[in-house]
Amino acid sequence: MSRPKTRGGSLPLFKLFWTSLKSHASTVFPLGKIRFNLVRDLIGVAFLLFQFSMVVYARFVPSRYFCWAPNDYMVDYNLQVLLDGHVLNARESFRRYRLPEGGYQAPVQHIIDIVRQYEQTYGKNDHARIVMRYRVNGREEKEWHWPAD
Amino acid sequence: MALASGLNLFTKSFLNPLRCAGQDLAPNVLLMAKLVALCLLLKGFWFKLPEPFLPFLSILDHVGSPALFQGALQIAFVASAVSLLFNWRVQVSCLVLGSTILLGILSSRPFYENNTLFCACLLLMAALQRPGGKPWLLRWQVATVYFGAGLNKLADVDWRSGQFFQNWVVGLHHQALYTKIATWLPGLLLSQIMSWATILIELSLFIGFLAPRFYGLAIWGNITFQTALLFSTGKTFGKFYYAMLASSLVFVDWPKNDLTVLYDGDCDFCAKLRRFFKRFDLEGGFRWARLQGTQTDGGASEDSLRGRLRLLNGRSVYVGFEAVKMLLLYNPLTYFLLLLMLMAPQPSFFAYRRWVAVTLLALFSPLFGPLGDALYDRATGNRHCLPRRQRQNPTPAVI
Repeated sequence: MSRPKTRGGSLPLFKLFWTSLKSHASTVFPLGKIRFNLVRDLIGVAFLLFQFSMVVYARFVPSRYFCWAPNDYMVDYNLQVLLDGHVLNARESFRRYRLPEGGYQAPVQHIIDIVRQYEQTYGKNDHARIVMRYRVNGREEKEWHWPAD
Repeated sequence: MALASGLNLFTKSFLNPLRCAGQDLAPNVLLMAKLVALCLLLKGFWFKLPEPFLPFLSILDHVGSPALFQGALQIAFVASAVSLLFNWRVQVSCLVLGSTILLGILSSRPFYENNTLFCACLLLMAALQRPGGKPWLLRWQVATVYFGAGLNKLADVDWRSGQFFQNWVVGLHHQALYTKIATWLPGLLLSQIMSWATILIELSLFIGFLAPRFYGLAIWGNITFQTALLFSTGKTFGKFYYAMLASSLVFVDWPKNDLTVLYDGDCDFCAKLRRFFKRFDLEGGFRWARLQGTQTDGGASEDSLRGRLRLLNGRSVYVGFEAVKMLLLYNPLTYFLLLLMLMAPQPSFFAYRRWVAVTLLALFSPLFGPLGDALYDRATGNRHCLPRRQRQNPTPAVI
């Protein structure tokens, strides 16, 4: 189908718009490009600043999210989960929270955050009672309870 | 014949995943992104992308069907990784790939791992890279990782006292040799030394990756440090080892123009080397010229260069074994092969990856230079000259 050769209607308007856009493109485009690059840089810098601030923030809290503390901790732990009067076995407990069996290479606070968040949201109506026994870096054994005593 | 010419056309085309030149990203940055993407694909990472489960942002618990969310992440991941490998919209691919991984992390706390986050950050920074500009965002990203790691260790009492190291090496990895040496020294002295050495190395690498004059040292420090960790523990820490080594590429001053390689036209061994390297030069980044009749700079006599390759990269000149090494290091194909070698599955009865890593590090390190030169000279020492007919035509043709 050939293009209708109308002189009126929307086609001339579109042509006018396109011609105008093209004529301004050479002046507008470099500015757009500069702005685009600037926005790119700003996003990148903001992302880096976020990481730096998390590195500093980590000095004041026990968790280590987004702050580059890879494998700086070794936690040996086991979970005892009491649910509706019966105790889950080790595998069931780990699967409930999708936690790795046989050691966790991150601060123990990360395990606590996971268990606590689960019990406050998905498992809110389970009324689970949890005891976690753990050792950090081979030091003395400690316990953490949910709900808190 | 048609198949062969088709294959040849493909290897030279921009769609060839082994090619990295001629795109919006600098070849070394694109190569880094591709190596990370390939590593993720080979690890079957898309299977591990989670559905929303205990997300960092509670809004992700309300995005609709968890299975659909997970499926969308997986499709976006595979599509962007494949398009990145095949050089299609490389920066958009990096953006989608990095964002997909980051979204996966944000949607599940148990999924959070430093090595996964590092891969996402590298890809996102590559996406934000200005075309034609220096990859300073990526460089700062790598430096930030070492800053965070070094500072956290420095602030941790178990790292300062050596307690972590002792538990990690002796209790967890059961290193017999380490345990034996540790017993000769009082208390946790050896572990303390190792801990402080790690802290100093990480903080030095942070500084080294910030100062351009130390880039060379920092690159070697980074690769050696990560390989030492792999060697001592046998672990790559997920994708961290591969991603960290790949990230070293962003500190490399990758040549912008073709490199000239001068070779001895009368040397059989050199001719073989030329054929070998030309076959695998998918970017066409090397121009080969006969040494005979070509003006050599620096006053080196033609005789002293006989049988020795000579690679010219701006004002840098590499001769003999060093030239062979640089021919490999300036070819993206080498890095894909190294990645495949290091990621190859290893049998449970012989964990050979650590040995491969150490051997490769030794081969490419400056320390191997003298031995490499001796081996190279031995190989060229047995060269036999080509027939006179060929020697009478010493045209300095660039091939």
